[in-house]
Amino acid sequence: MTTLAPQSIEVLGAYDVEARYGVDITTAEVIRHALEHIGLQMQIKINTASLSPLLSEVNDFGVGLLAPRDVDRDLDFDAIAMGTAAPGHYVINQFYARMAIEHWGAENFKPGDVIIFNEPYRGGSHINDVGTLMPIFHEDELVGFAAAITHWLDIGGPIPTGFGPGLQRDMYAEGIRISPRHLYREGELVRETVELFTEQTRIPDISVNDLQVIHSALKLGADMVLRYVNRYGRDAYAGAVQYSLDHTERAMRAALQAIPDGEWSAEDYMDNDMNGNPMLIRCTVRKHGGEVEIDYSGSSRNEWGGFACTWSDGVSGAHLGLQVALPESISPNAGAYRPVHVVLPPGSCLHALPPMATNAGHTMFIAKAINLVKRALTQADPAMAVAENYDDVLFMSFAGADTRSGVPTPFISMNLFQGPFGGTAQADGSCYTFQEGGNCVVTSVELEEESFPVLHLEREFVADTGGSGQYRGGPATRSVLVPLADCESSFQLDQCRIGPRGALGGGNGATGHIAVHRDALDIWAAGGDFGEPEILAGIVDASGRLVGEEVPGVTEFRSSKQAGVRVGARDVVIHQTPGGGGCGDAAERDPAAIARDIRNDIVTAGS
Amino acid sequence: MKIYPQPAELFISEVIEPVDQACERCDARSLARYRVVDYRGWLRVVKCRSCLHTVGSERIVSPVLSGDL
Repeated sequence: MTTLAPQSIEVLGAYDVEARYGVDITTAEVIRHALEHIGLQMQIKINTASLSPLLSEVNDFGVGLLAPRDVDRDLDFDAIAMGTAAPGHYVINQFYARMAIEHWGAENFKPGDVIIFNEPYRGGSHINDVGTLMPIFHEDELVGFAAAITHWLDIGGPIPTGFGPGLQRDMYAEGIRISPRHLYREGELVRETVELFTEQTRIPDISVNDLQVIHSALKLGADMVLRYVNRYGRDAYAGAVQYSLDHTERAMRAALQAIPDGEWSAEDYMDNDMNGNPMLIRCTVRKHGGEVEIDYSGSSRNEWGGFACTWSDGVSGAHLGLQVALPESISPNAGAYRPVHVVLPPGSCLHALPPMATNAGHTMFIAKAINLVKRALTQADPAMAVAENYDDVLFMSFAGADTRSGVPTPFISMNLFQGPFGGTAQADGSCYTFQEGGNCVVTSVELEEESFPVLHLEREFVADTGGSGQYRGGPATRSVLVPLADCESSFQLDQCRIGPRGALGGGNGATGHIAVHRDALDIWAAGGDFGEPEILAGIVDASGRLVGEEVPGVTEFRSSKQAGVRVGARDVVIHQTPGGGGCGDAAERDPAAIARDIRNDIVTAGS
Repeated sequence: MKIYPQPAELFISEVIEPVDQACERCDARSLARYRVVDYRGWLRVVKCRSCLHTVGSERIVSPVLSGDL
C-alpha cells in the first residue's frame, strides 16, 4: 500500500512554481488558461457543426483534453480541461476515457486514430453517451488525448431516443453497445463503424454528419495542444499540466477548509421503481480539513427496468453536488476531484450490476446524488442551506412520422424541460434552470416547431407551487404541447409523488404531473372547456382525477417515468414540473418580496 | 461483461471492516478497511473514519469488472 500525501493549500510563488514544475509561472499560467480555452473551442466546434439538436443547441455533451502519462509528474491521462457544456459528462470523462484507453491499450494508438465506444459499465454513464478519443502525438511521443462524450439522440433498440423506463428490463434491451473500436484509423474514416450508426439507429443522416463533427472537434483540440507543445516544449507543457491540476486541487482544498468539519446525512425518495414502489437514496458527507468522503450506503438496491445507474454516474453526482455547494467556481479538471472519496456499495441503485438497464436511471439518479450532497451540507453551515430543487432530467419525447412535406419521414422530438430550484440561505430559488448535472440549454420554440410536427402552445409559471419560506422555492412551469402526428412517447418527471423538500423550516414544493386532453387542439384554439384530462403521471383518485396527496387504499399513483405511451395527433399534452422547496421561516420573508411575487403571479394574494 | 443476480436485501451498504490500530494522524482507534472511488478509479483503503486520513490504499479493478462484490 502507498501513503497518499495531501497537497499543500498555500498559494505558490514564482520561485516555488519553477522549482516544483520546471516551468516559469508565466508560461504555466498561459498554458493553464489555454487548456480551458481549448476545451471551450472544441465545444463551440460541436455546437456549430452538429445536426443533432442535443449537440448543436442543448449542450448535452462533454469535450476536452486528457494529460500525458508521466509517472514522475503523477500524471496519468487525467482530465485537464473540459468545456462547460454538461458537467455530468466532464466528470465522467475522468473514468470513461481512462477505462477505454486501458481496454484498447495506450501503446496501440497511432496518429490520426479516433476510438469510439459506449459501454456504460466501463466507467461510463448510459448507452446513449458515446465516448470518443483521439491520441495527441508530438513526434513519436503520446502527450495526451482529446476526448468527448456526446449524447446520441437515438442509439437503436426498441425505444426511440433510448429512454425506456420500465420497458427496458435489462441492458440487452437498450440499444447498440460498442466496445472500443476505430472510428478513424490513422486519419481514415472506418465505414463499418459508421454503418453501426446508420444501420442500427433511427438517425442515420444525423449520425453520418455528427460522427465527423466529433472528429473535427477532437482534431481541433489536438492541433491547439500541439501549438503550445511546439512553442514551449514537451517538458514545459507537461509541467504546466501538472501545475494546472495542482492549482485546481489547492483551490478545492482551500474551499473545503472553509466548511466546518463533521458528518451529515440526507435522504430522498425516487417516486417509484418498475413495480411502483418508492426508492430510498441515502447520502452521508464526512468532511475533515481539506478532505471529503461522500457515502451512499443505505440506498435502495438496483431495480430492473432502468431504475439504477452506473457507479461512475454516482461518483459524478457526488463531485458535482460538492462543487455546486461551494461558493467559488472550481475549474473542471481532475485536480478538483483529488480531495474526494466516494463510497458506492455494489448492487445499490447508484452502483448497478450488469445486466441491469441504466439508460433511464442515468439521469434520474445523478440528479438525486447531486441534491443529496447539497442537502447534507445544509446541516454543516446554515449559510450553505439549500432546499431541494426538481431533481430529474425532465423530458418528454415524441416519435412518429412527419407528413408535413407530403413524404412521411421518421422523426424523434426530444423535449427537455428545465425546472425550479429550491430557496437558499441567500436568495429565492431560480424559476427555470437546468439541473446541475446537465447544465443544458432548452431549444427555442421556433426551432422545435420548424424541425418537428409538435406545437408548443404555452410555457408559464404556475402560482402557489414553490415552497414557502424566507426565501421561497421557484415555481412550477406548465408547458402545453400538441403533436400533429400519432406518436409513441417516453417521459421522465420525478417528484410527481413526493415533492421537493424545504430546508430550515421552509415549505415543500408542489408535485408535478402530466395530463392529456385527447384530440383537443380545436377546443384549445377556440378557447373552449377541455373537461377533465386523462392523467398520465401523478396521483389520482378513484375516478382518475388528479389529487395532491396519496391516501393508502384510496388513491393510485401513475408512474412519472414511462415509455411506449401512445399520444395521438392533436392531443393536448400538459406537462407541469414540481415546484422548488422553500428555505427558512416564511414569517421572516421580506414584505416587498411578497408583493413582488404577487405582482409576478408567482403567488396569489391570500395564499 | 460479467452479469450478476439482483441483491436480495432491499438496502445496500458498503462493508466496513474495522482495523485494530490507532490513526497516525489523530490517534483515534477508528481505522477501517473498505472500498472507495477516487479521481482515478477504485481503491481499497485503510482509512480513519474520524479524521479521514488515508493510512494506506491499493488500486483495485472495479467490482463490476472484477466480480469482487
